Amino acid sequence: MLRVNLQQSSPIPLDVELNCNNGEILALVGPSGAGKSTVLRCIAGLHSAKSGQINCSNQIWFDSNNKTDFTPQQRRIGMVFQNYALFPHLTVFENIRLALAEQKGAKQKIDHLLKQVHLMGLEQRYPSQLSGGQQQRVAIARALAREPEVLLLDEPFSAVDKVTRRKLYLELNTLRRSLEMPIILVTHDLDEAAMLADNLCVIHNGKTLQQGQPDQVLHRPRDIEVARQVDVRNLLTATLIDVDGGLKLQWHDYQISVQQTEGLSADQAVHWTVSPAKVLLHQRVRPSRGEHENPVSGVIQELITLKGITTVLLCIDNANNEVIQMDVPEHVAMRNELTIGDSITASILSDAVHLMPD
Amino acid sequence: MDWQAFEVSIKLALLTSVSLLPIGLALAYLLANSRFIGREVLEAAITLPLVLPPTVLGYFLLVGLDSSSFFGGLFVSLTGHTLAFSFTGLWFASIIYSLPFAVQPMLRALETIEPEIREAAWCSGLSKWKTFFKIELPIAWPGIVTAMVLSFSHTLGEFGVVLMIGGNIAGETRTLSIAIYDSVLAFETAQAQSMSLILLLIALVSITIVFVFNRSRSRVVRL
Amino acid sequence: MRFILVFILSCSFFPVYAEEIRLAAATNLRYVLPELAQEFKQRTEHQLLLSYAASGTLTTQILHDAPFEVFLSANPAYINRLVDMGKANGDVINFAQARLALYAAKHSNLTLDKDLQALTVALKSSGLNKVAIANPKHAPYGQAAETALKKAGIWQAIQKHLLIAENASQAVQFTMSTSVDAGFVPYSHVIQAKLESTGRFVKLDSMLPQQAVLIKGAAEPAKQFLDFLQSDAASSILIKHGFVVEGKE
Repeated sequence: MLRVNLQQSSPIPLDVELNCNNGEILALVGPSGAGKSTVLRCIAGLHSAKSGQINCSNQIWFDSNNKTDFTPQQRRIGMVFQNYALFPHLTVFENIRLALAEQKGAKQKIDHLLKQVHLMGLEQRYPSQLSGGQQQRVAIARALAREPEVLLLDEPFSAVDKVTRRKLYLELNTLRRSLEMPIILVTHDLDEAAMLADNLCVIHNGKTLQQGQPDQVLHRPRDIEVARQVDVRNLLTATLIDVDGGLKLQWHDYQISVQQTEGLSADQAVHWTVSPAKVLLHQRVRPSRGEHENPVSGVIQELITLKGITTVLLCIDNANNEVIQMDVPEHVAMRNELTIGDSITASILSDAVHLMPD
Repeated sequence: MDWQAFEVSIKLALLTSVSLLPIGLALAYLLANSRFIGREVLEAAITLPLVLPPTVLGYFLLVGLDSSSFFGGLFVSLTGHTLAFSFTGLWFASIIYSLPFAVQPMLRALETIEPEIREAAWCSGLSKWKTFFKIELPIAWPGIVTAMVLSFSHTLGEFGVVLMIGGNIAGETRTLSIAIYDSVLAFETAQAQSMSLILLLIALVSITIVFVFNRSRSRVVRL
Repeated sequence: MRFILVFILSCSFFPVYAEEIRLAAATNLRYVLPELAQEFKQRTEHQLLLSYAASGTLTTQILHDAPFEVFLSANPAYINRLVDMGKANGDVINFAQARLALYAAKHSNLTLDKDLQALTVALKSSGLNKVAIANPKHAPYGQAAETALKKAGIWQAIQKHLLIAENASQAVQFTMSTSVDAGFVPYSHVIQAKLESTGRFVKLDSMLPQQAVLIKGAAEPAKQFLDFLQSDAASSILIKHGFVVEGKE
């Protein structure tokens, strides 16, 4: 279990709190310059924050109160750098051997590691003779050779092409099942994070905004700041009103019924969001029963089809030209002959509406 | 052919370049890996002998380090020799004079090592010392060899400083370059020619070795 | 209009073209030449451009067509070489004799005497530090020093103590160092006010012939300077600076 909290105002402002259990992947996401790499470097011991505490498996690695600050060598960490940082003058075998916690039985250990990362037979090659994907695997093997308490990955997939990346995702997924340490993955790619992580932690300007399961964070962000960071689609504003003792969302002329209203009260201005997958098309061909749930009407402004999903940009009537995105299976779009300029209606599922205070 | 002068020159050049190995490495490492106030001043000071005329250096060494001065007296008490007119003094002067020729190539070589590589070594459990000897030194090795050969050749060709503070003592401070000069002045052309050719040959061979070494190494190690 | 014409014409009658004469001189003449140059200029309007260096250096340069017109040296061998190589124009002139001195700066404890007895004693009793001489291989003052040391019978013994300077001036400079007990230097240097106050000296018997020769291609003013060197006016200046002029006091 890794527990981190760090604060400092310079050289890079930090206000971080995150936790990661053994065997779990925590993805640390945020834009460039958000401080993600700095946090990783603090955990590694390469940088000491002005104040805070880093606790790993009940060892206190860093504590500003009693001036504890273990060096990277004293901590047992496995770090994979963005450009791998392999030792160019040593073979793959020697690169890994240098990191071995215990030199006895080196050959067997290295063979085992190489097998784990699917790199058998390449021990005698030099880093310059390896492809990007192979170098990355060596970097992982070297990090694991240390028998680390925590595995730190700093944008490990950013330097490889998309095809190789998909392969590496699968391998990491398989690999992590055999690893029993917390794994921190730094990335700016939300899709990657959503795919690989058990937990997502959003960081912006050095501040950790929300940590939780990917579904939680990506579709139910805590506040507008997080929402912006995770690229929430359909980010709109409205006011809550009291209707017959219950709360509804007054959005332009529409009154939208909602379900998650804890902590919110009438006449409160809120941001609201709904996943494009939860805005249902009123089908012309096969009408469904739920047509009465939060109906909205609009004109199709744009249609974008990708990988079997058609995203409809719907310009809502009487709503100041605000646009709501809908994701519709491609075959449904075709069957309904959706075209730009069509007037259609849709339902916003009330249990999918997520509210955030202003 | 003044073999005694040849011996003095070779001895001086060897001693100087060997001494500059730890001194140059320490300074280059400091400059490559630390950020401190006055870092640029230090680098400029080290580079000074590169641009100063040898006569200026000779002047300061002769006048500023005379046995009656504080540093001069210190030198005498430490080494038993005066700075001027002794081989030890020449050795000391050569270290200063050839310092930039040692530090610059070493510094450039160390600077090309990405900081992540050092950090990766630390994260892999290597101490700073081990990182230096097992990672940085081997990677920077061509630069270090270049530095050694350059300071050797540069010291071999030293003239102005030796002329000013050497005293032309046979077997001690009469280097080959001084002997050549004396021969020219005394119109001993055959002597002057043979000694000059030998110096030229040594310089050519040593610098060629450096280039060959660098080229063969870079085939394997590409950063 | 006529006035200007007359003025220009009348100017051309005076040999007022102040020429510049390029002169190469050994370093021991460094203190006497400026005064000679000034006296010469007052008489003829001609300007001397003076270059000082070791005689050997200057000889080599002249042999390679350096644009000097007059060469002054205390080393007959170099002058003869120029003559033999056909670079000289006319006769070699002996215009003075230079003296050798033994000089010790203030810090030195060495007693100075003409026969170098104190030096011999110090050498034999291991009480001698360094002694500076100009390079006997090519500098005339060095050769004179070698002769003097050989005459005192200590030439071999003193080898380890010798500091060999590139020229007479550097020998003087070496004597300033605290590791140097004494130096064989030009007498004309030690009687300068600057040096007189910083040490003591003794005049030695050795005499060095001070010679001058015209270089091929020299212009008329250069010849005039050579004549001037042998004049009474020049002689008195030379004597003032410690040189000996035959037949003159």
